Amino acid sequence: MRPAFSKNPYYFLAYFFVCLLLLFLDSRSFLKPVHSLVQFVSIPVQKSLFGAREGLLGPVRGIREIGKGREAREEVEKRNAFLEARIAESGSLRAENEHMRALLGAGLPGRWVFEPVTVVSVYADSAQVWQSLADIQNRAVVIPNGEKGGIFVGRVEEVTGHLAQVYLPTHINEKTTVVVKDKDSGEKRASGIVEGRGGRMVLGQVLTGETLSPGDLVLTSGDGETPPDLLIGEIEKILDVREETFQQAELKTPVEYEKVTTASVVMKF
Amino acid sequence: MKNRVFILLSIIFGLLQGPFLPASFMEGFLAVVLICPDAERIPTDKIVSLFLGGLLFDLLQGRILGATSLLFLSMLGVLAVVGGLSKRPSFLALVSLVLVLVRGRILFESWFIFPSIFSFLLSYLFFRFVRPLHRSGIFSLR
Repeated sequence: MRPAFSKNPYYFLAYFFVCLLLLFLDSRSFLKPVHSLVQFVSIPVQKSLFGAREGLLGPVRGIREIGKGREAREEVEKRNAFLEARIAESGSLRAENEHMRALLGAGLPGRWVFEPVTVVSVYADSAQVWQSLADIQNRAVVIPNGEKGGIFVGRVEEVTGHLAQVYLPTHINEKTTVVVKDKDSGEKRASGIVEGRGGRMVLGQVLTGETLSPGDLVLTSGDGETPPDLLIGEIEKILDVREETFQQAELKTPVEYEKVTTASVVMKF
Repeated sequence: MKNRVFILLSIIFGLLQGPFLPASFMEGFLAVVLICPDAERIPTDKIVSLFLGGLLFDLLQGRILGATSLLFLSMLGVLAVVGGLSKRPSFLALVSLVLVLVRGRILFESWFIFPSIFSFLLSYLFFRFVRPLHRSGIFSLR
């Protein structure tokens, strides 16, 4: 049954057009000051809420780990060992001051220019980061990790006011060209493309003639706007793709993105 | 639902969604409850509330301004067009589900399956037991 339109539809249409106008203005960044003003208040609140959630989920995760049994515990221990050895040597996830010291002593090339950002929250395979810069669109977000190089956290997809949305490598729209290196020797084994599959990453486009092994490190190749030699993950499992031209492998993330509190945007490399 | 309550809940959930709750979650339920079509026409102030609520969600979640308001108003337009059908709890629950799914897909590029199912169930139970709809009126924008 269709309604008879009289007075209200005009209001309805007027607000509809106001929405379209706002969309247009915001897409042209004319409303950035409005976003910045609101975010000045909302970001600290949301950061606290995100911290509270992690505080609440921590014990729950712990209980789930116990339930998974010994095998899972061993896997976690191995993972912890990997994280300790490869990533968290200087405690890059500690307080921001420590992170900045790590930044100054980073093993990444000296010419690289970083700007620190604060992670507000992580959800739906993207991280919301607080930044005070003008143009960080499409730039890489990393965790510099002392002499070990850096960990690739993601790419800035969108900036709204001071809040930037960073797509993690697990995001369904993300594709990153990578090289695969041997865990121990650092020798290059293969090259391919890492695709986000929503919460997980798959390495693809690796020729069948190239060798992949569980434990191999996957690093950015440096094509496009992504800096080279940033750790994106570790090969967890080779996928069974018989009679295919390319090999595929499931990757393990080098960090738990939800626990990252600070990172850096690579401004120049 | 009163307009002030809707605005207040928009602020609360705009802050909670993302850092604490799924990024697209309660807006569908809030919107269908606000315009709960138990009268023959929707007052203009509810259109304004939907518009403002959408803006608050966008501002607090750092999304492009006007997108959520546009979705809310589109939903209102759909409910007005389908008229009598919008008196059914299951239909309103479905609208709430679609709203959460579409908003999540457009603004966050993810399918919020479980939050949308939760929103569906919550809306259905609300209209079935807490606030049953009066079937006599015809929902319209008059």
